Amino acid sequence: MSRCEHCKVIIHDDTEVCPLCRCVIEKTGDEEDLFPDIQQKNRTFHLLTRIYLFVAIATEVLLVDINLRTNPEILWCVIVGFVLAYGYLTMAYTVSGKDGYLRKIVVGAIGVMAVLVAIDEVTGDYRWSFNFALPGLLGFLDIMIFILMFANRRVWYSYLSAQIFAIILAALSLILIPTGFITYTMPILTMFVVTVLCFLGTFIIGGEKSAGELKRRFHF
Amino acid sequence: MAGKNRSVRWDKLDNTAHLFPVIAGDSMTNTYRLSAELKEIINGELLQQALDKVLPKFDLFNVRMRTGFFWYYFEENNKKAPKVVEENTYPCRFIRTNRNRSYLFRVTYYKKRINLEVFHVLTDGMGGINFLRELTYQYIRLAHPELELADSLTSDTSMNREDGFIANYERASKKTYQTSKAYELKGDKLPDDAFGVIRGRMNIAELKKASHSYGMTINEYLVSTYVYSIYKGGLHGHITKRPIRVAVPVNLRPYFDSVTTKNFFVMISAFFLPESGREYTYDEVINEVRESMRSQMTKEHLKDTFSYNVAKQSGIIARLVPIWLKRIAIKAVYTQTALANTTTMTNVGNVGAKKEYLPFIDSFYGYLAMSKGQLLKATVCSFGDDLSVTFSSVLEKCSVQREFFKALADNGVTVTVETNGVY
Repeated sequence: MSRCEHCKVIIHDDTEVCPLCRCVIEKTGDEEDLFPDIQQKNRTFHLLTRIYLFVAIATEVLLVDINLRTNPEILWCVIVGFVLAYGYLTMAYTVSGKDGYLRKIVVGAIGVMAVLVAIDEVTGDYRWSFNFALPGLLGFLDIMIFILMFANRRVWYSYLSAQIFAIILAALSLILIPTGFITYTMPILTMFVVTVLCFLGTFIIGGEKSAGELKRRFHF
Repeated sequence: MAGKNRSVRWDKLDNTAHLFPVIAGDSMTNTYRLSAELKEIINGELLQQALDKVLPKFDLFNVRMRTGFFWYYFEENNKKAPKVVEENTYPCRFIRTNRNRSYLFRVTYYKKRINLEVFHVLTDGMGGINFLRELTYQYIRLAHPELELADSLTSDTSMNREDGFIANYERASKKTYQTSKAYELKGDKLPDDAFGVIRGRMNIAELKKASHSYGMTINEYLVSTYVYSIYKGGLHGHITKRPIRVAVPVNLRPYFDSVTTKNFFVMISAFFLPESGREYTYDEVINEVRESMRSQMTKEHLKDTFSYNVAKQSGIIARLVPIWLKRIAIKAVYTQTALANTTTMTNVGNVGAKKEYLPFIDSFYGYLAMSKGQLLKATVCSFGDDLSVTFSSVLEKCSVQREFFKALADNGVTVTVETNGVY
């Protein structure tokens, strides 16, 4: 141990300067490290994400220029822009993000939907993205919830609230019918019914555990 | 654990805990660390075994936190205990439950030290010490089977999970805590997101002698010396319009005859406003701070402080507001009140241990993570005749810490300082 005459304290660290006043102290012996030497965690992935972002922006600027010069009637650069943005979302959130699987799946699905809507709009606005892709993604969400429920079957009841969320998403999608975005209603109506049935089936078959889960979730 | 078909155990958060999940994140982790230093090198595998054995007995720690439509709540967590690892990050990092088997605490070790890091939503220092002490006992029993000690929890440990706030509050109380801004310690931060720890160890008898010479308890003496060190080391003796306010968490259990292991504390504020043009002496500062503390350390004042919060939370309108709206309101209130204090000094108290285990334990101590506007905090903890004041900070400068230990040394207290090497 050493003593700092300025601070009037004994220093237990393995150091030649006082940590409080930065004055030199005379070491009287070797001390063992009391804490590990923390190395900064590898931040390569974050660097790659930032490089990707820069390259994507530069690429998009170049493609907008080419698109407008060569064929301004079809704005294919918008599609590429959405795909590049989706790539960034995947890197920054889905892969390295810190949220749970379900939230990543939902955010990823919303990203896919945005790309599909962009493709639909640019290629002639045939509304296939709303008529078919949207119900398809809702079905994908239902399936993913069941897969996660099976994977975490010890706490399967935890996913009841995700099923309620899926019903809300499906119900919100129905608003697209009167607004004219959805022109062929059968797929979305089918998916709404399927999503409600998925929840009801889980709730009824789950019995007391399902009821207990909803009681906890909605306690006030 | 009971069979598969029994209902899931769950519990509500206590009154204080509602705040933590709303404000917690990478920059404000609301995680505190308690450490037990043994006299021998820790074996990681044995520590894992000790945790595996102890955790199922502690319902308070054996939970995961879930988000309801109106409130957060705890639900039993039957996953394997979190993995015990050798310390490899700075202390008090945010606990990501989805990478920690959904648990709200972590256990690490380094050389002779066992670290328990707890998300404050679970419990305060008393609940944490309860768990760490039993974990340490269990580790010692596994490491030294020759002792033939009874393989069970000890009678010093409480399992009570009463919500002390709800059990003791009174309706129609007025707001008692400050919301006006306090002086804020600022400066360059440590590089690379580092987290600095400076621990000063001292002898309780020497400290008692010094504090009694000023007619104070040890806690009053340490808090008022801390205020003085901010005045000298932060303000450099200058005047300020904003007061130096040190938040002092008060353990309510002795006041309300409670042994709950849930959060049960309120904050009082040690206060000093250097508004006159002259430089104040050490004696003047500590006497003023002592008076400000004593005026708040009454059962009535403490009760009023938490009753106001409980009454707000219990109102039917507050209860029926969806959680996403509550989060916005809680964040707004927190931002206002957080800046009302310059820093925090908490006292975990004297941690006792059974005499059979004493030969193996060197000390207990702890420290806090940073919070909004508070980039330096202090934690007091004692074991036997050894008391530790540990400063945690993200500021590069440590002039406040220096003034603090120097003031103690000037009063005849021998201080041994150790750091985590970032200074």
